[in-house]
Amino acid sequence: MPRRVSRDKDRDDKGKKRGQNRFSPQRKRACRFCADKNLRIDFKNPQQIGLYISERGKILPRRYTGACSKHQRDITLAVKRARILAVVPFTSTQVRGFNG
Amino acid sequence: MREYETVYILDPALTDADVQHSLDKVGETIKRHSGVIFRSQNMGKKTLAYRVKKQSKGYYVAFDYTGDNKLVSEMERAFRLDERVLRYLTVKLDDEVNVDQRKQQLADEAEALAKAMAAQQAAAVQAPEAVLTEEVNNA
Repeated sequence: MPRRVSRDKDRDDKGKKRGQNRFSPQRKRACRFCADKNLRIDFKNPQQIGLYISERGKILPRRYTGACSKHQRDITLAVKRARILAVVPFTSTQVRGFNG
Repeated sequence: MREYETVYILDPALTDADVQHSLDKVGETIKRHSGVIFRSQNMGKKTLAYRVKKQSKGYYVAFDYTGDNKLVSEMERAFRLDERVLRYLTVKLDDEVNVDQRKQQLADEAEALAKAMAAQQAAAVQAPEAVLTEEVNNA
């Protein structure tokens, strides 16, 4: 699969028209942790950590979480801590046969 | 003084009184090392995401405190020896912390939260009226 061109670059190089044809609609979302300075990610809160992991328990990439690089690092660290404390699973296969 | 947060998981077979006893004991250790506790809480019995020491549930207990590395190592030693502790994790929150300032900050945060809750409740009660007045204003 060809590597997807970053949105910003596309817009700068080729102008608005081409970008719109390819990936419309285009919108840039701000990182939610940057937008609200008081918002902190808590590794003890399973509901909050659950937003940043896939069904298999993998950490979601930035294109899904919408976080900036700094806050994506915070998210990664929080998920890893939550895994240690059994707040979220390391993998979904661990859950199988759990009730035994 | 550094600020640390420690979370540990206790055996689900314990009673709330046992958990409280453990909480007090850790609190004593912190005080003995001239640390200050900002927050300590029993977060209750929760289901674990995977089994730890053959247990599928556990009591989560969290501490926010200041102290030095000796305190942390002693606490963790106690956790390792104690069979009722399933898992523990200590995280450094801050390298240098001003105790009074931090206490004030926490108090402010708690106050703000209480205010927000009260406001939310009030809004829920007054919501139908508010909508009505808005309509009148628009007309």
